[in-house]
Amino acid sequence: MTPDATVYVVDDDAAFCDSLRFLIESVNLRVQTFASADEFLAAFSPEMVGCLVLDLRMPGMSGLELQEELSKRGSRIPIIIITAHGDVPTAVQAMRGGAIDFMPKPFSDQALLDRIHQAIEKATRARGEQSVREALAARIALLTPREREVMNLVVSGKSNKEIAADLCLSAKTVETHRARVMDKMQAHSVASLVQMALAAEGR
Amino acid sequence: MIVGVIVSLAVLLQYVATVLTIRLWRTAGRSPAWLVIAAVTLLMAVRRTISLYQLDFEDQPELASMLSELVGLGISVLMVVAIWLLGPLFASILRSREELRLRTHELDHRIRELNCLFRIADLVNQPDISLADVAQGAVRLMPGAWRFPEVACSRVLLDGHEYRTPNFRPAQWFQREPVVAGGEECGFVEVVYLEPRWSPGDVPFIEEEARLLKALAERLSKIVERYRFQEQLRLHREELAHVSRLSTMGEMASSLAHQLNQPLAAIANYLRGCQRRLRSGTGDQNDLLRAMDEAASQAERAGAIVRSLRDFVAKRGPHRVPNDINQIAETAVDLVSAEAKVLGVEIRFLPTEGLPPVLADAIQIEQVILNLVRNAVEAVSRGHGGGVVEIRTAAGPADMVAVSVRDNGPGLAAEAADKVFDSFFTTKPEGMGLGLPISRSIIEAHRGRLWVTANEDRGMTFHFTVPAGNGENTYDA
Repeated sequence: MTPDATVYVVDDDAAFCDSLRFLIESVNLRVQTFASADEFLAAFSPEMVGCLVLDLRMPGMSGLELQEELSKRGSRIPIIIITAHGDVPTAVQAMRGGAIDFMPKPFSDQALLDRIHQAIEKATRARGEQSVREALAARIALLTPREREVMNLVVSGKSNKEIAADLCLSAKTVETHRARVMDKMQAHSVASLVQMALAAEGR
Repeated sequence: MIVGVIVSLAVLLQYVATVLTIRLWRTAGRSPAWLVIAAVTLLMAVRRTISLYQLDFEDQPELASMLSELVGLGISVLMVVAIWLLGPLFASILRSREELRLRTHELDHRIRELNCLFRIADLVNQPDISLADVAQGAVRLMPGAWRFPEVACSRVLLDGHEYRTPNFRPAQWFQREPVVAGGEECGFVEVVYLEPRWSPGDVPFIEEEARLLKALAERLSKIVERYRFQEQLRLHREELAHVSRLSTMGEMASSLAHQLNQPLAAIANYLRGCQRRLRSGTGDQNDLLRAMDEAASQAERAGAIVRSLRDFVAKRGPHRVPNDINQIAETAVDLVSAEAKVLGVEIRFLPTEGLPPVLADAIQIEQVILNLVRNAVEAVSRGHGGGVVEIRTAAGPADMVAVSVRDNGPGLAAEAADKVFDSFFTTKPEGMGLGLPISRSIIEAHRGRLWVTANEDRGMTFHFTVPAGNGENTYDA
């Protein structure tokens, strides 16, 4: 668990917020509580790592509206919805909006904590993948256009001779480019280069 | 000479008598008796005339005296006939007189009977008169309609309650008639004579009196049936109010059940958190104690919610005691505040301090305020935010306390404003249309008024008044 993963709780019932904080802190997770959706949005930044535990019915912006607003801002923070006013249409809408889960109050503490752990793992992994992608993108940016072409052809499985034929270059030139690509990309084998290419594309 | 004058006068009078008698015959019934008498007087006059003018029967003195005696005989015969004919005439006159006397007596009696019935009817038509007062009034009016009111007393028994005249005492001369309401006997009416004032050979009670007593018993049975019907109607209204409360309750139950979920979830969180801390050994005693304390508070909060729900649904008859209107209004506002918050409606409670106590059934008035406030909240929540509902209490005119519920919603069209208190009229798709009519019944039963006005800017204000009182007129129904 990355040290800065936090559970963000948004609920207008102060007593409930406090009790939830007490529960989550008992498994050594960091908690931050907000009394309204607006309060949370004011503190929100896309760099936040963690998950959001959200009530549905609140004065001002409702839980579903906050979910919509966050997706508009491109946030992929996982959302768990807990509510005293559960009904099926609302649940369906929340899940369609991308919530991880929809729980009524009162709920099983184990179920909620499990979900929170899953959410944080997922968020952390996503953040990890994001970093890798960013690092790879930075390396690719170092390649010249010719080197880029060579890499694409290497990754597609062509031999040096075929690449030389495709690009109308000498085999020796292709070998030089290839060596530079491996170096800049910090790849030890063609296989890892393929993996990097795939990861850079976001697959 | 003088004798002659006397005799002439006598003869003249007899002719006059004849004429008068014939006139009598013509005007007083044409009875043949008058003609006979006329004949008698005529003959007497003729005999006198004969002897007066000394008609020459001198040479036949026996003829003269024979004629005279014959005429005398005729007179006597006619007189007998006349008396024979007159007898029945006079008898019938006497009979008529007697009948007239009897009829007048009867009429007098009839008038007293009718009087008795009318006055009892008047009694029943008085607004808000109780069955006991009607029975007591009837009992007092009854003896006057009997033949010997000075020694008469009366008694009415209805559903186990007895009403009697002050002089009542059981005696051997009585008339009794059962009162039958709804097909079963529920009492009787009775008239008793304390002393025998009727002539020997007469009966204490005549048939007309038996009929009157029967009529009175029937009247009373109708009155009892009517009071029973009104009582049933009142019970039905209360039942309806209860059902309406339940359906209101059904709607409120869901939002209150959700309200309950909050404290319950919080309690679970605190307790599970304590368990985890204890198991992993990371529990700081102060933290644990604080968490348990909070859990207990949440349990109390849940209990208060359940209690307010139960109080609201409990079925009670009207129970009017002095109450603080501000307290009643505050309880009602609290019950609705959760719903209002959820719908984004602001509720402002603006009581006036120092108001006199109102004589009211707190639960019923609370229900009325709840109904008005919920209607207002619903009216403004169909808009787009900015909905405000203001509840005010103030002193009203003429020893009343006034409560008003004001909203800034879209308001009611003029036609709807007229019909809004009619049963089953509603502008809400899932409404029953009974809240306002029932509220109005409750307020009017408290001798107040409930009405609606349109605000100058937007929305409507519902007002009602309740009399102030300090409990001198309390009663349990």
